[in-house]
Formats: sequence, structure tokens, C-alpha cells
Amino acid sequence: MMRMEPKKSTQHHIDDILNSIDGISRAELSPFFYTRVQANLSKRSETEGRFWSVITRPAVSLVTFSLLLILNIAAISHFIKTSKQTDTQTSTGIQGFAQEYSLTSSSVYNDKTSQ
Amino acid sequence: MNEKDLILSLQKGDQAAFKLLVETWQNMVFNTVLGIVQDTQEAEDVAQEVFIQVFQSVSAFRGDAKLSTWLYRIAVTKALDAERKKKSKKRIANLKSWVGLGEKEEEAVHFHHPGVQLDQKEQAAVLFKAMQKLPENQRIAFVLIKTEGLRYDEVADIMNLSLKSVEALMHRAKENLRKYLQNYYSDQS
Repeated sequence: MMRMEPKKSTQHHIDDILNSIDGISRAELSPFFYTRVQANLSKRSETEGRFWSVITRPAVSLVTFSLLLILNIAAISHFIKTSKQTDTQTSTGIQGFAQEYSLTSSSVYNDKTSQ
Repeated sequence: MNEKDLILSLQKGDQAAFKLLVETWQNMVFNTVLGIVQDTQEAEDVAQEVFIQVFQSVSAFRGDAKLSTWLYRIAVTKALDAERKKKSKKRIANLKSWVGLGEKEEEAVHFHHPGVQLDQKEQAAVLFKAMQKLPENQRIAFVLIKTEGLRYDEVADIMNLSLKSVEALMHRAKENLRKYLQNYYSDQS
């Protein structure tokens, strides 16, 4: 079966649309564009400057430093505490290994002899 | 001032050089961005972002490419970023309206490019709408060649592609546009 070709007029119309922006001229900005860019730039550097001025204030630095120090001390003391606990819980050497794998129960032979 | 001197002055933070750069290339950047985002106000905002990035990163510009090529690259990247943001915003708004938390965003009206001749205005608006449906690479090539009037080799430089690839992109872009327009007319009739 032959495929129907779209109407010639439609094809013609599509070609016209495809060619409609041939020879388009450049869209132009207002002459004040540079002033706006400058204003935007200075606004940004102002915000950035404000951020750094806050960050570098002695009080802010001191508080941040103390907070970090407290966090570090807390973390270290917690680490020492937990490592001590695990030391007491686990036995060392072959005895600990035997305990961990339940190899310490008396053997069948021992059971018989005790009877 | 030649391009090399201009770049050197920009790298030294010379405000007069920056003003010269903006005034020389502002319409080129704006027109490129406008072809992609298809909104005059948004295109101006993106063009501002382009020049701010140029100002902030000109120290890293090594001069491997022409200044205009570098500007085109930044403009295209920024415009595509703005497009993606707009699309995700629209998706969230649609999702919100679906859940019942907000109103559905209205479909954008036809975009009329200010550089199109008056008698071609309606047809160009249909073409711009169809261009939005093109894949990104095809759209960039089509915009740069059709609205900026660049040569294929210039577009190849901007897109970091071979000349053959740009030719293929343009061929596929035209084919796709033809398909969209055929569907558009069959839906209308």
C-alpha cells in the first residue's frame, strides 16, 4: 500500500516556517545593561564581604574553636570509655578463642568418667 | 585594544576593560541566550550571570580559544542551566497541583523574537515552539547557526565537535523540526 504524502500546501507551509528566521537580526539589550551588571557584581561582593567579616570576627572564631574543642574532647573520652569496656569483656589468648567458639564445655569422655 | 591586551587588562581587574567587553559582546550573549530560553527578562538575567562569571573566572582563561568562543560556551551553558531549572520548577509545580497543594503552571505563550521581521512573526513563533522540543545539542547548533548566523566550523569550535558532527546535528535538527511541524498541522486540521 502506498503511503499518503502530506498535502503539498502543508509541506510548503512547513518550509516557510523553517525559513522564517532566516535573516533574523540580533535582539538588542538596553544601553544600561553594563550598569546592571556592575550593580549585580557589587551586590555580590558586598554579600561575600559581609559573610567573611562575620566569619573572621574574634568572637565567632572563639566560639567555633571552643565548640570544636568540646566536640573533640567528648569524642576522645567516649572512645577511651568504649575501648576499656571491650577490653574487660573479651578475654585474650586461646582461652578467649575457646570461649567465643563454645569449645570450653566438657567432652563426652569427661562426662562418662565423672559418672 | 586587541583581544590579547583586553584579556590581560581583564585579568588585572581593569574596570574599563570589563566595560568594553560587556558593551562589545552583550548583544551576542543576549541573543544566544534568548534563542535558548525564549524569554526576554530571563535572557537578560542569564546574560548578566554570563558576564559575572566572565569577570570572576577570566584569570583562568588561557587564551586557547577565541574570546568570543569562550563567551558563547559560557552563554550556552548558563542558558541550558536556566532551562533545566525552569523545567524542574515546572515539574514540581505540576506535582504540587496534582497533590492539591498549588495551582498548575500555565503554558507559556508563544515567544516572539524581537529580531524577526513583522510578516514572519507568527511563523517564527511556531518554529521557536518546535525548537524547544529538540534535544539539547541539536537545539544549540540550530540556535547558533540560525539566530546568531554562525558558520558550521565556528559552531564546531564552540561545541567542541567536528565539522561533520555539527552538519549531522543540523540535519537531524531540521528533520525533527519537520516532524514536529507535520504533527502540529495534523493536530490542527
